[in-house]
Amino acid sequence: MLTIDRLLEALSQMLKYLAACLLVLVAGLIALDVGMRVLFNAPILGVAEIVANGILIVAFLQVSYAVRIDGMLRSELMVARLSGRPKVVFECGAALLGALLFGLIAFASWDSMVRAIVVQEFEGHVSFPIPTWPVRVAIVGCSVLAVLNYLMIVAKALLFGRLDHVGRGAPM
Amino acid sequence: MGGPEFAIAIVSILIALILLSVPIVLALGLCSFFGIAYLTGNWSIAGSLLANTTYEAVRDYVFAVIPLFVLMGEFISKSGAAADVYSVINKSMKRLPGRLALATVGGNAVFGAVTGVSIASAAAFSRIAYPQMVRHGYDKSVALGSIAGSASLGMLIPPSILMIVWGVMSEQSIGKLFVAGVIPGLLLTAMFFTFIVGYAWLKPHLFGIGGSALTTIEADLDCLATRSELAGAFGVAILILTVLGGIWFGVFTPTEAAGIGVLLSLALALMKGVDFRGIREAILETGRISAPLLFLLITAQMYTRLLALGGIIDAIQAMLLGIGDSPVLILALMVLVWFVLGMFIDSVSIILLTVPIFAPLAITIGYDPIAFAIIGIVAIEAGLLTPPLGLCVYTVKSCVADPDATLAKIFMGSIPYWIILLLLVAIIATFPGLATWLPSQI
Repeated sequence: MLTIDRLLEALSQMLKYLAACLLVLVAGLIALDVGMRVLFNAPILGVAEIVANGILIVAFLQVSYAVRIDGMLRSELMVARLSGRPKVVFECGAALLGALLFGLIAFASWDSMVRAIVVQEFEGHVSFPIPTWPVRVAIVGCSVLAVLNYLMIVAKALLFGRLDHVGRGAPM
Repeated sequence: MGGPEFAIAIVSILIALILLSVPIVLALGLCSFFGIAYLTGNWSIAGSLLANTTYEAVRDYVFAVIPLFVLMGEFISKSGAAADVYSVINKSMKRLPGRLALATVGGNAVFGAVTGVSIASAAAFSRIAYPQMVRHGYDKSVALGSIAGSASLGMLIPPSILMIVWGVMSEQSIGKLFVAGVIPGLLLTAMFFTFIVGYAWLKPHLFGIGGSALTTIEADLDCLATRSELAGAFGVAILILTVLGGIWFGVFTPTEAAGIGVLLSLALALMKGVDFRGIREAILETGRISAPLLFLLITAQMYTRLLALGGIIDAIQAMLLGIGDSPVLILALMVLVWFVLGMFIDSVSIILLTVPIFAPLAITIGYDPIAFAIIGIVAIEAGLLTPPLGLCVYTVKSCVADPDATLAKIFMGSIPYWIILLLLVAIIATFPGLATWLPSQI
């Protein structure tokens, strides 16, 4: 099982780096667009659409990593006061809720993803159509990964009493 | 269908989950999903709303401002420009009592204009200003309080993540909200300055004046600012002028300004000698901070749909208006809710939870939406300085290595600052023009 955990860790790290690259690309694209518009009065076609879709993909690519480092914002009121077995039970409960939410997202988004791939769905202005499948695949794929990571948290806590993820993410 | 009972049930479950330390994004998402399923009696409607919201909620050009402004702040933090700004301000304030605390406030005000997150300022100044204040004989509680307290300037002085989130939730122009924060931000800086000078004048020993440290302080601090410090401060000034000036004069939208800001701050970081590793860390940190924020926005929109569908907004408004119809009383109640929530959860979550309900109510009772946004942000920031879980205080604690810097000391030192913040709330409520005048000029 720890091999699966290591695999999930490696995958989350990889997606995190991918998200970082995409973020830099988005920033560069916006800056280039503004530069072209201000200097040459020639904005780049489709930047707004690429940026909009890019941001959603960046968010989903980061989700596994956020789950693994306990990066989702929460009040520390209860967890800070617990230790030992009650804390393990508590964290398992929270992780199961996480698995439930992302499971629901993946399940609810599945049909639209399949449709987007099968009918090759495009959207945006006719001069710059964008395929919708990358975003839809990112939503479903990353949500499934988030579910696996949440379940891994539960498994590690119940089998080994380990709560590796707690406290890895600093407050914002 | 909904009604007062449903409203009370949903809000109680949400608050219970949040107090039980369930991540807020999960509490919002699940409450909304099951709430909508209950209201409509149909799982597939709830499912398709969830799928639609996930796909559409943040898939818009404007949401790029969040990671971009965070990235800009990260580059600036890595460049060490905060220390330069602090040093230049400090060296320009000879003979003022409490000058290190004043430089902390001034540095935060300037730093706040290039970063969107309060916590970034609290972390930066804990490392820069605290060791220096201790060396010069400052009372530790006073020193820590000035750092935690003045970090609130970061959220009030644009760019600010809180204003972006507020703008999104209440469908207001982010650019206008940014501009609206300028005068209250400067006013708050002036109020903090006045407090520190007065306090240092009344109790000089708390500010290292009169002790043995006095002989060294002038010699240590009065040397001229170095070339590198001036360059850093100059770079920050250019960045502020470009980003805020661009938005102000309508050259850029906030998203475009953020894109340009990222580029300029990257240039500044490289000029200040930040290596590839530092740049990489800044980018990764941006992902770590902004992805949970974007997820919060997704589930918050789901929650907004639940609020509308369940008639929860009307029910809570009726309850609040039932207590009394005086606008001042209702505003006081809302400020109280924010202040109390700020003791337990982070500021973005508070906005997502309360603004969909409070913003329409504020318009009903006659408050200007822009002034109301600034009032809300200041009140929430005040809560972040109060026990038991004020986040600004915890950040300062985690960034200061001194074991003597206890949470109790930081909370104690922060008291005057949140009182001043609440005072500012009262001032803006009385003179909303302080917030609305500048935006009306653009």
